[in-house]
Amino acid sequence: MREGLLRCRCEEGCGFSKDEPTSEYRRRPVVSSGPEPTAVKTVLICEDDSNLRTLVRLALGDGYRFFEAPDGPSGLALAHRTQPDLIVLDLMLPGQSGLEVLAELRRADDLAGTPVIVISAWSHSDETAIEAGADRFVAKPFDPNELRDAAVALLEDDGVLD
Amino acid sequence: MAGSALLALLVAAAFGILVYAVTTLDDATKRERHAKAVTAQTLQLEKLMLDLDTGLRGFVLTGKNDLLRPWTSARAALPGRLDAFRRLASTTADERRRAESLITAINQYVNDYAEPVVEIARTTPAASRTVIVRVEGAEELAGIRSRFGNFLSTENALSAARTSAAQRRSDEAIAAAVAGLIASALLITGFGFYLARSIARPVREVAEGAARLAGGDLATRLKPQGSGEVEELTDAFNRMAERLEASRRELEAQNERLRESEKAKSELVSVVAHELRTPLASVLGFTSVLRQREVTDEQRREYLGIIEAQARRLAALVNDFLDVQRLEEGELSIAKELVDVGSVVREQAEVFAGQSPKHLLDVSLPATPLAVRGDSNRLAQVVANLLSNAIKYSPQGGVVRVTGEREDSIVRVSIQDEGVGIPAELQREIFGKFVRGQATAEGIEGSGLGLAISRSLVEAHGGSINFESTKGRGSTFWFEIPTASPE
Repeated sequence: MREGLLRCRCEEGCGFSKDEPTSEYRRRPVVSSGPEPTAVKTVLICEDDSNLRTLVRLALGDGYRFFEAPDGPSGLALAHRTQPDLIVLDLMLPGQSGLEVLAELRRADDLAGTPVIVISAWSHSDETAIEAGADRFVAKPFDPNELRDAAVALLEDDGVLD
Repeated sequence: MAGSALLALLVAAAFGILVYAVTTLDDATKRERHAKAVTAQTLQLEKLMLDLDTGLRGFVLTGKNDLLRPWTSARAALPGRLDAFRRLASTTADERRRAESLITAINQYVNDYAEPVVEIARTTPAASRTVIVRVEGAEELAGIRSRFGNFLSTENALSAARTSAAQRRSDEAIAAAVAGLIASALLITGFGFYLARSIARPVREVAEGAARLAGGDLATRLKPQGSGEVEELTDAFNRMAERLEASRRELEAQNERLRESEKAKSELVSVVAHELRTPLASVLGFTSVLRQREVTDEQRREYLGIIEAQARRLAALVNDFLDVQRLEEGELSIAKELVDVGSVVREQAEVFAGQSPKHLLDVSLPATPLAVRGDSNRLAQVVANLLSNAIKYSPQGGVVRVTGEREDSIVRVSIQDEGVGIPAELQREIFGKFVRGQATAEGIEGSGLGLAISRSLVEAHGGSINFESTKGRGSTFWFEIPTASPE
């Protein structure tokens, strides 16, 4: 069931179907579209509303590989497995709240430095999210361009992109 | 109060004894004065007798008439003296008897001896000068004088005895009275202490308690003490303090309820805002994508579909919020018409049967109407909500059994599904607002308000709603409403 929910949408030419499981996906070579043969950035979207997961993908645009999780535990498991370059995390998640997921990410050796954008309809949670280790806070409803800019800025800061 | 009566009695007794002592003393003085008067009278009588004898003796020896003068004057005074003596010496029978015997002896001497001797001396002086006459006279007189001595000594002894007895009684009475007065003084002092203890101290404690109460310590209580008015005062004080404390507790509880209700309200506002922002994020986000990005026709149709669905969800949410709000404030008006729950169930089952090809709706209703008094639209809302949940939470499809039945004085509608069931940890709060569990994550639409609204609606009809569920095996929800009383 969890594997079934795990989907990614790749840029044109990557050659993977959007519902392909990550485990298989990671074993395959990655084709870069950039001038240098660098890996395509991966983004984990942890959000329970499927429409909003679609919207996050659209907002960030083609050029990333996406992993999706509808709740906290599967989000954490997927993060450990895929080691994404960026995590987009909702706060109101079933099973385990976004803040708990964030705290575990920050405690984990392999994910402590991964940039996290928290998106939430709790518009007053910005300070709490930043204190818990989020790099950015984007309130719902969000402008797709704002989210894209935040993602690009974080990935550039990270020195991963270009 | 019995104490003060006893004290008054004691003081009165002490004064009574004092009065008795003074009276006794006065009596003793009177007796003494009387005894002295009797002695004086006796001595005068004795002197009179001596005068009689002296005159007699001189006349007999000399025959001279002028020597008889003392006799003559004494003889004249004698009856009066005797009368006075008899009157005076008559206090007791014994005294009277002794006085009478003395008077008899004197009369005997005067009549039987002295008078004849004077007569003889006048007629035959020689005859009266015989030894026999002289000796007889001397013997008579000596007898009388001895009687005088006896009378006086008896009288003195009696008087002394009476006086000392009176004195003793008086002394005893004075001692008793003084003891009584000392006891009274001690009692008065004790009574003062008692008053201070039983009135002054409790009153002071009440005053101190009132000060503590005024200072805000409403738990102040007084130890019940004293009796009568003091006890009443203490009791009244404690009742007052209890009332004050109870009303403060009531106020605090009311305040707490208000605060909680305010908190709940502000939490609801916050939750409502959150719930509205989620579909709004889809509506606004996909609209922006459509405006700003190049999309295929297929994508455009997909996104417009999402926008429409989320906008509808927003509208439904707003309706649910309004229902919850009205139900919580008791503003939702429930009609009280005669409603056949059976036909309400049938209509809703028809609506839902057309929506889900994967589910089989098995409706079982009695032939006769299930009459209740209520609002058909609101009851339809409850049935629709339970049916919609049964279908939504059994995504694999299956049989949904809908049963309507009458039992005693209630109508029961139960809706059973073969769906995902409710996890145990969620069962306790399933009728709460915005309780959805994994529903959002599993893509099941809903506001999380349906069951909260349904429960309020059923309760507004005087009924109850409940469920049984096992995770993975499905759920059964039912509600019961009192049957319409026949008119």
